[in-house]
Amino acid sequence: MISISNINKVFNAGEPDEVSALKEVNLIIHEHEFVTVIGTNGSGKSTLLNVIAGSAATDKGIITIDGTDVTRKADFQRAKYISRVFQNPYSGTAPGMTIAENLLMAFFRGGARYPVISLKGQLKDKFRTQLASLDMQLEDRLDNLMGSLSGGQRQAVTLLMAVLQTPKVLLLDEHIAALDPKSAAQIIRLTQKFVSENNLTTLMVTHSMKNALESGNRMIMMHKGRIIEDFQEQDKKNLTVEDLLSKFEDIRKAEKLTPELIDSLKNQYI
Amino acid sequence: MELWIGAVNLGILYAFMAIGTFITYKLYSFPDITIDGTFATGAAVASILIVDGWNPLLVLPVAFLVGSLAGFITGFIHTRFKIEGLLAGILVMTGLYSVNLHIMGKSNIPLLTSKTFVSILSSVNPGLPPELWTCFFLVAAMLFFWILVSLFLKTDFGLTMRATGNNPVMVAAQGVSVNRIKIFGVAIANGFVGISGALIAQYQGFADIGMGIGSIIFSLAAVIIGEAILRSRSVFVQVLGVIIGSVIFRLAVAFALNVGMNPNDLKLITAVFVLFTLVATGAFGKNSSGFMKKVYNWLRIKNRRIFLFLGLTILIAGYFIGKQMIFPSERNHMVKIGVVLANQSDILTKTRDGLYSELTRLGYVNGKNCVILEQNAEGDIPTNLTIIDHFIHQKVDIFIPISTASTQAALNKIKNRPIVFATVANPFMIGAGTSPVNHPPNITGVYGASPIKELLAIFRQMYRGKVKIGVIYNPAYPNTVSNLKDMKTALENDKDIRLEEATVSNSNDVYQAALAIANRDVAAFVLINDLTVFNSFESVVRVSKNNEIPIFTCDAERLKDGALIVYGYEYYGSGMQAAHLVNRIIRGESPQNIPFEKYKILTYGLNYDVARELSTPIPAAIRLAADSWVRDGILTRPAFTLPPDPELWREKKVALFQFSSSSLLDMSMHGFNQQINSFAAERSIKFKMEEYNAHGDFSTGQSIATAIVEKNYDYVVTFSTLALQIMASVNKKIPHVFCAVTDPIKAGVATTLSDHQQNLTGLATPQPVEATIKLMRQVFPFAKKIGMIWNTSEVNSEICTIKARAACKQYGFQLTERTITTLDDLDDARKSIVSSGIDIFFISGDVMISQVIPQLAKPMTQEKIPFFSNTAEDVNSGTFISLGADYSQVGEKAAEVFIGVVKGTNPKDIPIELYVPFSLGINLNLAKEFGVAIPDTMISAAKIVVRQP
Repeated sequence: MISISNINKVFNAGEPDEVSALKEVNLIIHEHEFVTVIGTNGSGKSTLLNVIAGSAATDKGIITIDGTDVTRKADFQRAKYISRVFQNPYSGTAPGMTIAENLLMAFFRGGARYPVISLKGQLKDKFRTQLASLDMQLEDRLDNLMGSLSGGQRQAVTLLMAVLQTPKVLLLDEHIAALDPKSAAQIIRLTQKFVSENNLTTLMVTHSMKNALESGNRMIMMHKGRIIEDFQEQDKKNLTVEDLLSKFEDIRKAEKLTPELIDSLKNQYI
Repeated sequence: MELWIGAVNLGILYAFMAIGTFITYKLYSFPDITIDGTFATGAAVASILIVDGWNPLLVLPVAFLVGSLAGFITGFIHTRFKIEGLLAGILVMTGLYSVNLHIMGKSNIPLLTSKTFVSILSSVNPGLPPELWTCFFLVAAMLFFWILVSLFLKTDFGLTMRATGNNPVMVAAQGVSVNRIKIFGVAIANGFVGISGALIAQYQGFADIGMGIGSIIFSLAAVIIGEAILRSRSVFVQVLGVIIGSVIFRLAVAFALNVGMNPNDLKLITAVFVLFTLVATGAFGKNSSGFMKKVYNWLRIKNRRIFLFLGLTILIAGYFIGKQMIFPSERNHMVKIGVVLANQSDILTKTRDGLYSELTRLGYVNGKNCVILEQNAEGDIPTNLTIIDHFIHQKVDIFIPISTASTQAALNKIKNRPIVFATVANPFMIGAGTSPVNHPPNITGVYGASPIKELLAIFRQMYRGKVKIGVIYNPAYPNTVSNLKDMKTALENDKDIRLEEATVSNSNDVYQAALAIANRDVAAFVLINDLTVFNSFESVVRVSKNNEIPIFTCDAERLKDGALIVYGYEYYGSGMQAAHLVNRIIRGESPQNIPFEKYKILTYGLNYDVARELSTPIPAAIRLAADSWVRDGILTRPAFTLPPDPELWREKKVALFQFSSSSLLDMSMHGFNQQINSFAAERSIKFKMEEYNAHGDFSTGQSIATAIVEKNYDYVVTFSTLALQIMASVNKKIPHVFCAVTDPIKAGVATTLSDHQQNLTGLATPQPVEATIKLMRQVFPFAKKIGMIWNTSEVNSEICTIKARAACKQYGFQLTERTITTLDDLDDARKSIVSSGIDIFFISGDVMISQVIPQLAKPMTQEKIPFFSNTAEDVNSGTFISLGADYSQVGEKAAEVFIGVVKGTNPKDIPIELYVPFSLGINLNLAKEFGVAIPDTMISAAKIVVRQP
């Protein structure tokens, strides 16, 4: 479904603070695969997501989605194939507009919008039913402003918006990182539900090793702009958080990480 | 009332623009300054097309498209090149200035005589006050537009636009090109602004290059006020708020003017008003101050917006109620005046026009303090009665029959209400008493038989011995019969004249009758006043020309139509006299005690064109005695003036309106005031002068003009071209005298000097460009090149330059021009023109450049280039020779014209006068430096001479 070959991405090229975010990355994601991505800070996992979504351009390499070369296409042109959920719950919705109006935006994802009024009767009923599936009592608040919802509720609506028109690829960019634990759990549950119901090809970046292990059927691990590990379904099942930590330990050895850094990694990821 | 409705109309017209700003500012958080330019673009496109003959409504879509194009460019620059929105707007706005000038071809296009939506509306006005009538349509149009825009914003596309402003990241993730949506939004917003400009140009009667400046502030104010008053999530309510905000803003301006605040403070008032609105809005938020909270709690008002709204409503309502309580008489004392005319002939319509103009001058304004009903019997005598019946049913207070037939009908029907007749030959013959003082108690009026005896005496000066004269008449009119009787009486003493008669029963018979009489070998037609004959006067003229038989008549109006000699009363004056009688009755006099008046204004006219065509020699005595004449198709006659009456001693309210401050305008106003004061002191007339200054702002000017009309001034005097244009478009009634105007024809208030908007007259004072260039030739016989710098955005400057081109050709100069639009370019223009090798430098009537004469004079002196200009005072700033008009004399002359109007002459009868009192300034020090000798005669003629201290 997604094929990435020889992708390079350098930020601030030629400047003293030059960063190679992605180095010669190759990745093929098959249809219906649910891939989780973990990695240290600055490992390039978010950049990987952004180059797939098109909000960051690549310096080199080719990206195809469903057989189409999208390397030179802008983010809004790729929206036909891709839907996204952002880390910041405020990014995925328009706070000054009602829930129904936000859903309508997603309803036409990738398609044309005409000067006709679609938001009425039947479509509203449809939205109401779908909101009910979130189990957050939002179905009666179709005409409330998005800005009046909590972060967790917003992220749930964003998730619903992402699957409203079944996407070819669903990109989740640390979408529970900014939420309280209870909401985060709820969103993860919803994510698994939507992905399995629609059998979606999914790429989920996360900072939680636990979530990364519990979700999906494939996991990649990134470090310094490279994919250093790629666990297929069988391998992934047998992995534990401790295994992952020891992987990071190996990196430490290789790169002479200080024990303090290891501690901070532990604090961050477990 | 007109003031308020006018403000509402302006508010609605500006609301189109405010809705545009709502889209950019509220939806995209992008205060789009492009609109300052687009507004004028819309006006420019509309006016150019309208002058070209387009339908004034069809120009609106064009203005929309052109405006959209400008917006598209702003949006494109902003999104594609990632240039800050404000900066992108400024770039396009700046560029548009030149584009607008190109579209218009000059900086000001008058539309006063063109077909605009206002003139179309007024042509189907059933009789409502024009502003109110316009208001109905504007409200309807705005209602439609409101629904259209709101519905659009609720569509999928509209929602996408709103979402784009709200969260562009999210919208992009949903597959929307944020850039495209932004460009589209800015484009349609500017399209709306273009429509607004197109409408305002039509409403105010002209387009001007400076129109849009500051629009963004007014629009923002409208949006902010609207938001404060109507806060809602509903798009419908939001857009409605913007419209209401725009109207409230205009009402506030009108209010400020009406309570007599100095218009100079309007900008400050605007700022305070917007600030107040913002603070008040803040008070409704969560962080409202303790005091306000207490007030609200005490009032137990939950919805605080309603509180503000109620407050404003109470304030406005309170004002109206208060006004009504203070001036109740204004409302309750509406005198109903019924005017009935027998037909459409000139004699009667002239009488009516004189009546109306004088009534207006006496303070009676239809729809304001009186109601004037007018009906015309269209030549059908019984219809006069029907009309009188209708008037009685309408409870008319005073009847004014114009013509004998109408008076007769009135006399028959009405016994207990006053009748003032006008233009009746012999009221005694139709039963209105036996003498001017002995008449029925309810009737008085203005009458007079045609001076047929005097006309025959003039005829006798030309034709001696035995002659035949021809007369044509309709015996059905009592008036005619009376006139014929007089004629025959006069002829009894002169047996050598034989009268050939022919009778007609309608206009179609006149030609035949005239031919028949011509066949009887008459020396002349001597026509008594007869409506039927005069309705078909052309037929008589045709026979007259073909048979070389001149026409003599008692109807002064026929002079221009082809009569050789006229000797008769001016029926315009008859109407004016009747107006005074009406005034006396309204003020409580009984008609019984008012004697009938005879006509007072007489015309003795001679048509030189006819004399030449018929090869008729005119004795010198007649040529000298005639006070009016037609020569080469142009009618010259003295102004109609009534003898002074007590009305003159009433205090007159005069508005003096100046568009901006400049030394020339101040001088002319000073000269005017001085002259008026001495006149007033001499005649013990009181004038109450009030000065208005728009300080260069168009909307302020517009509001001032509306206020002047609303406040019912007796006269208005304007100084400067823009003041004239703005006033002329708003005011069609109050007599208006203008001065300090270069070219009233270019300004659109006149087509020729004698054919101008009816309620105004004044002075045209062009810069003496040709005389100056002639002077250059005299002083520098060998100079070759003249250099001129001028500002393309000033009409006046353009006119002067065109004149200079012609004069240069005439006096053998070569003209080098540099144009600028802002003073920033002046330095470059000067350097470039100096390096092109000019011998003489010349600045003419350019207001902008005239402000910086000293900066130009210094380098010119250094370069040893003589500097000429068109304002004498410039020599004090370093020019060499400056020949201009003396504006204090212009002001004094304007005062004379004004006094003529005060004395009762109708402005429409006073041709605009070309008046350039020369005022010369010379710098003798520079003359020495340039090595030229200035003749003593020139030095003694100069008003200002600069010489070695």
